[in-house]
Amino acid sequence: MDYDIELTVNGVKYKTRAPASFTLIQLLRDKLHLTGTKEGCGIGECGACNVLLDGKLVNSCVVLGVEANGAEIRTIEGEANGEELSDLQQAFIKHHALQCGFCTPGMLMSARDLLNRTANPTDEEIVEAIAANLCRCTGYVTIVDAIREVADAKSKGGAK
Amino acid sequence: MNFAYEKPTTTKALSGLLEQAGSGAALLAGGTDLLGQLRGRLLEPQLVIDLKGIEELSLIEHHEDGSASFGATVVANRIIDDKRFHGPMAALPIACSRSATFTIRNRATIVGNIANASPCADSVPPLCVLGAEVELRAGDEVRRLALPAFIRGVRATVRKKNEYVAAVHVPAQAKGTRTFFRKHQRVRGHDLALANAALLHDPEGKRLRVAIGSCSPAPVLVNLDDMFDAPDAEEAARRCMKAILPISDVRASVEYRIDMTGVLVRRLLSDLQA
Repeated sequence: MDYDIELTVNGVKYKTRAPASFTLIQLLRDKLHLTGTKEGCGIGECGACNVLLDGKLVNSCVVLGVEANGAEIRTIEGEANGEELSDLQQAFIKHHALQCGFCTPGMLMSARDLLNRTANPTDEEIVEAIAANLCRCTGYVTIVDAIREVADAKSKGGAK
Repeated sequence: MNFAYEKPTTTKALSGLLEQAGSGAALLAGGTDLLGQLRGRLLEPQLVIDLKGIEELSLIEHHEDGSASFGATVVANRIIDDKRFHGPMAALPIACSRSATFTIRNRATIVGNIANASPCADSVPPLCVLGAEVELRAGDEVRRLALPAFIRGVRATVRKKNEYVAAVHVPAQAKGTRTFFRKHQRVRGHDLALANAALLHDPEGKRLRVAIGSCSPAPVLVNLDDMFDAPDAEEAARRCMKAILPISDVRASVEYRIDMTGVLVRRLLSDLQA
């Protein structure tokens, strides 16, 4: 059975229809064609599909699309402002914090959530924040460096 | 997967849906466990009932006498962030913080953790030693059961098809009571318990209790009150190792789980001295 679903993604209102069995990531990718969010494990363990749902970091593979009816979602597509990459995206490039790139959208959402929650995170808090994002390429060190740089700049009142 | 979805806003509407759908209904709180079961086709309900529309089920209440209750849709991170749980009930938020990942804990509920009745549920041993009760409702009928009486075995509870778990009630703890939690897992990050255990020390009632999870079909509660005045870690470990009935599986063998239970109990008793 199909259900009407209205939701706001990165400030844009969408109206769509989907079966109750559609997960939030299926809704984002297959209905709204926002394919930046990736599906890895499909059981909430790898973090590739992380998005913010009403300000809370969630695995969009273990949320039903119908559960997001009326919700406010932030995805990787909301990071850049047009052609201008966000502070985190620029830092990831600078520090080579990605290789294959599959984990990156989820990794960036976890980093964004950390910065939203914590003004000046410790290295341990950064590691803790991405502990549920699996990356098989980088070894994580460069990712922590990238997030560290943005967090430092923010706490000094520098970059946005 | 082909099911209908309902999100009632009152407990009355919820009971009506459960009466109607019977065994064809699945209750959805956080969904972190249910979605896996649905996607793996371990469960094929006709109707999924989302509990998040009912405000009453989302409440955490701390009562004047020191007791507390939380509803069916209270997520693990809310328990961790609630400072009032960090006194005598500290084993509960600590167990929550050692459970799954931050992301999952934003969705996963404690009631879901209990009602799924997975033997390795991390919130169960603390709630057992704290004497928590599960409130089951069907329409206007309410019954309260001690947690060990609610869980019957692996993924089995005494919940009837027309019932739902409305809340968990944690009684007030006697003055000076302390609780501790320990978990043994393969890796430091998010991993299921090979064995987990909680300890309660109540100096007023001279109660010393240990609950062990992941080592039997249902949680095992061990009463060590008789050694309250002179706790003997070796004897406590021996009794707990005897009380469990673990299985060998992909995570650990029977022998290893029994040994690790002994280690956890000895460490819990040393936590008490610290």
